[in-house]
Amino acid sequence: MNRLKSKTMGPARFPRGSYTVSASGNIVVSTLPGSFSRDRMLAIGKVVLSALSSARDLGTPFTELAADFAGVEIRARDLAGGAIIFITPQEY
Amino acid sequence: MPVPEKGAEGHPPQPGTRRILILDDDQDFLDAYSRILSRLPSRPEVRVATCATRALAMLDSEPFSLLITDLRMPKIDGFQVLLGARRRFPTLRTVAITGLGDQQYRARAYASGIDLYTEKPTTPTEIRLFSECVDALLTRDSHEGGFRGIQSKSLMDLIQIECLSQHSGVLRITRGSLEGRVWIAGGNVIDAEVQDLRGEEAFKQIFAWKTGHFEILPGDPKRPRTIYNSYESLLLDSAQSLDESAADDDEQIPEAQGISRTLAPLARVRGVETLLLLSAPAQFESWAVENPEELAGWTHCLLGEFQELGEALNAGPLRAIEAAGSVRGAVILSQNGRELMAGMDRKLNARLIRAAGKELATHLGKE
Repeated sequence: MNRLKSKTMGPARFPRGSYTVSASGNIVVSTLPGSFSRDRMLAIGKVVLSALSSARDLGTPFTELAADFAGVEIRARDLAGGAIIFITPQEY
Repeated sequence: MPVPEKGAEGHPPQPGTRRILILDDDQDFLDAYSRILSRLPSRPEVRVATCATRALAMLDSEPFSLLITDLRMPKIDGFQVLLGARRRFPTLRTVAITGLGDQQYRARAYASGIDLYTEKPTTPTEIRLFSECVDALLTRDSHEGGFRGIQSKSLMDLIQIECLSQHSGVLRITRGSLEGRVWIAGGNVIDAEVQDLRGEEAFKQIFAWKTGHFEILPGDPKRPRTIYNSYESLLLDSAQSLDESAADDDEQIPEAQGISRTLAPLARVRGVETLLLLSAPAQFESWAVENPEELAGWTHCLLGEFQELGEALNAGPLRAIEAAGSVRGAVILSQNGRELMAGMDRKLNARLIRAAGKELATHLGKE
């Protein structure tokens, strides 16, 4: 995952948009600009799907999950095993 | 500052409002009956729990007048909850509900000391009758304390009655698993005993109980006298000691209610239903969590995965993970080397969960 890391200081600037991942982790459709790499989308999708799936296994299924980072909010909604993921840059 | 908790209708509970706790693993039943019962003439505040662990933790942390529990539930069934509740909260009114018309269930439920056994009401008439019964139980109840047998009489009243009438007897007082005895001979209190305490010290301890059961046993003429004060000055001294210790008691409330000092302020944040705080991967404390070991492992892994993702994306520090769900929401955060997982009321929307998360982070930062 380290190869995705930016060399800039402080949080990177993130675009605004959303994309959908299937239950198997593939990207179905995206509104994010091309500057936001597919690898990044896949990395986010993998962690989000794993979180939703493990919460289901624990008996507390989540319909929505948000990771609040200093530089970006990653919000995901469960879509029958897959997810729709919203990327929103944080305002400084 | 914690936001005051709201009642089922969305209004802050009024002082003196009676609380009902409904325990059932059927969320639809809970939704329907919290609406129905919150409209009773006595306007109670209705709280719900979907599992026994959560229900017992709620009973520990705030005063309830009435517990309504389903009898058939996975893991811990309603009978176990009733037994635990009766033992720990002797004045709590209890109602057992079941989908079954089984006579054995009925007999077993009444044997456990419940106030009412009923099948789950389904028709409008049954619902109305059930509501009336619940309201009657609530209005019969008294939050102000009192000893069953002579409702609304304090221990001071009981002792005065016995002493003024020059009786000899042993007053046996029980409060949950505790049992105390006060020996009265010829209108004088001559001895008292509770746990390892004897004499005036024991009397003062028993005197501090605000609720319980009592019975008067025959006198014990061979009991050695350890208390020589008149009953009037004994009652006066005990009342004075009680007033002086009131401030200290306030400080001790969180521990006494089955929640640690660290978790108590977090539990008061609006919408928090369960708590788990990890200070190291295998070192944690929890409140109202059914499966703490499993949840501790999950919380630690989840935070680790998102923190790693944040580093890879150069997204800056992870402030919190928030979730909404059909069973429960969640706030998960890491601060000062500790990890917190708070189970949240499923009715809270994303904005309220975020607000609660910020409040939890503030509390955790103060520690």
